[in-house]
Amino acid sequence: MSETAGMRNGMDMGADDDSGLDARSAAAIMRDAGRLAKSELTVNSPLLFLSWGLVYLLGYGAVWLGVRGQHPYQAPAGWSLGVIAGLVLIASIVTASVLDRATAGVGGESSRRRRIAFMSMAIGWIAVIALAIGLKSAGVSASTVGVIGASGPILVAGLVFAGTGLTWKQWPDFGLGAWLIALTVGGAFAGAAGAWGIDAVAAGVGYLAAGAITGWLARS
Amino acid sequence: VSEDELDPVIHAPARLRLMVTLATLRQGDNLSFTRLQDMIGLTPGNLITHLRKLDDAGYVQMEKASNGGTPVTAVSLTRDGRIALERYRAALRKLLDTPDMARPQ
Repeated sequence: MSETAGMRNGMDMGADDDSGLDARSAAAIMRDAGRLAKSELTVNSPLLFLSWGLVYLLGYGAVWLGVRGQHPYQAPAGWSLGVIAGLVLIASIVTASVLDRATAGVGGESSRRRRIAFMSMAIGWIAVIALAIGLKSAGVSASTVGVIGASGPILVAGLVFAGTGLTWKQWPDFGLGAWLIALTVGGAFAGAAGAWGIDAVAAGVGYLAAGAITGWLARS
Repeated sequence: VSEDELDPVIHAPARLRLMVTLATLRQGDNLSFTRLQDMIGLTPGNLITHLRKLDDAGYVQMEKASNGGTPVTAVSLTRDGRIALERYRAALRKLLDTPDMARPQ
């Protein structure tokens, strides 16, 4: 049955509530309905920033712990890549759950924007992995591949956040994007092992700061 | 200012809740009929009745859309609807600020 089928039957049963609403009750309804709608329909961005911030802090941090003693640089330890994969999985589940709760039944412009951002991020990350594999098979040094592996995903995230933030005037997103782009460049000067460490702290803190600012803006 | 001056199309509990809920969405977004029903807690019949009143006033727009092959009715607030709600909010604030209303009961 379609969602509007058979509605005519219900139309005569208490649908008309036009009488007996005083100003104070109207104000209370507006306040309560506004709160409910905001809590149901607003994406919990601080939680998303927190979960991805932890991916960088803990995941990249784990890789840095594994590579910091390598002279010369070889490759991240298998266990540390497992830590990153596990954290990415958890953050992805959190993201899907948060978005599903807030955006179920919501269509239109925001939905299209979100799809564009996610597709851009996914395509960018796949391209970075392919690039690193290609460079490695072409005989490029492990250290160079390491810098690409560490900084490439952050550069992609930075470009997506900066682009979408600027286009849609979401300034915390734009700020995070600009910060991620800047740290990608800076981290490259520290070599492969240094890049993992710098990216872990700077990207992680950047995400947490964006989460805190977004949360503060939502409350104010 | 008296309660008679409040927009009668909006000044009803269910329609007021509908308008405020839809106003929470960003401009250009819409909400499916079923999600709206879940949030407002009306029967489909009551919900469509109130939506038609708002539609007749030009405050909401109802569109048939397809979500993965499933037909859905998408509801959104029009520009006129947003303006009307802002006017209603301002009139209500003015009404509550009058000496009679401001006095605790």
